Amino acid sequence: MKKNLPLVGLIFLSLVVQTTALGAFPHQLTKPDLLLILTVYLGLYSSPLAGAILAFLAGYMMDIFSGSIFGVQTFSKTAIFFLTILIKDRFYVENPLFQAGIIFSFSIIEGFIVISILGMVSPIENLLSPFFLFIIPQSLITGLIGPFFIALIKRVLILSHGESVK
Amino acid sequence: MVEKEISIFRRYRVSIFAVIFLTTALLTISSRINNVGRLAFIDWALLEITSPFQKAITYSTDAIGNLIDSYVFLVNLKRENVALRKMVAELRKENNLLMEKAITSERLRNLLQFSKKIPRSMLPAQIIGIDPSSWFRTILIDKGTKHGVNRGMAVVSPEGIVGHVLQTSPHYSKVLLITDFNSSVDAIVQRSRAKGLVEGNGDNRCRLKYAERTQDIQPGDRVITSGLGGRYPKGLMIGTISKIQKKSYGLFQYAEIMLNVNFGKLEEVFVITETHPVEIQ
Repeated sequence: MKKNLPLVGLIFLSLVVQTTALGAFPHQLTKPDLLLILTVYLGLYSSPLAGAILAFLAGYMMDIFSGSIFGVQTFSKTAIFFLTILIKDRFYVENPLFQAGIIFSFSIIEGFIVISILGMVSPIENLLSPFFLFIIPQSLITGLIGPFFIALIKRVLILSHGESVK
Repeated sequence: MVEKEISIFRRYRVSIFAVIFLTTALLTISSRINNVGRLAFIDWALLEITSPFQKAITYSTDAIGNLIDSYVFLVNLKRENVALRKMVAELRKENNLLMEKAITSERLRNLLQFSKKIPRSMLPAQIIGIDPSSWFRTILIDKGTKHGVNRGMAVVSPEGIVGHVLQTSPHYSKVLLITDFNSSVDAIVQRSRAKGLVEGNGDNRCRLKYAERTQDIQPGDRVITSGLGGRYPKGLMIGTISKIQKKSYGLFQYAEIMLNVNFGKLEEVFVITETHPVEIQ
């Protein structure tokens, strides 16, 4: 439990940065989803139970600060966490290109999950327009930043309790 | 036997955890679907804990931005100053005209006994956070129930309407912007008095819907709030018609609206804390 506290701090910090400083991102409509990168990190390196709790927390925190239907981000982040676990043993996860690719892909998948839930719950016209408006740009930005942010997370964890990260 | 059970659990633990956590998340969605405006105790507690940090970072980034504006762009200051002086002169002229029109309008309004529609009190609030996702269009302001802010109250800026209060905690409130997919405002076209419904597009634009196709709407027309519904006072600026979509069939025409408020640069807003709803006789 104690060793996961820095990760809780990182979730908190990422959320604060995402809701403030990243608002000034050049393309105002999209910004990198730091919590998605953190969720993928949890899927790659954390234990299933602790990782699931933290991914759930990351999504829940996003839902608190987000509009519309509560629980959408909680569900999508948790789903992304388990999808990461499913595929992680089949690839060499330390490769930054793989990390960028997986984050890009999962960002798109998360977009589809959100669209699907929104489509089921509320009648929104032309649900596919967000695909080009938000999902593609956000996935590209998040994928590009992903490997750097993962490296930063590792660095922070090493500094926080001198623990070697897998 | 016990060892066998443990080994089965170990083998399927990821699947078991996946089922438990995903079901919990789905139950969360299901339980909150009909209570969009309500925050559970844990939610507002987390909101209250996190928001001061957002406030601090927002102030810091604003301060850095102001510093850059003040010093780095000093080179263009002289040229900008000349242009601004010219603009001030034009705006003064325009202001005098508008004041005259406002006085006339006010007198007529009093005559028609419509004064009750005017909001009595507005509470200034600072924007301290934006929606963490790219999906929804909400902002977080530094005023909550302790300051008299309640769910459903209109939020405006000097440029026009911003949105309405979606959720509140004691010191903070979440505001749903008019650009959000779930937002809709009853509106009229100022010139022709054509009526319609303004809905968010998810980006920085809105759409005017359900305007009868026989009504006169042109690009460049200003769209204002109609006052119907009681949430927004009548006459607040929404935006300008930029494009019209009128098919050769159907009852309605649609139009794209360029909003008057630049949401990317919005820093402060006003919450209308006291309104008199419009009553349709």
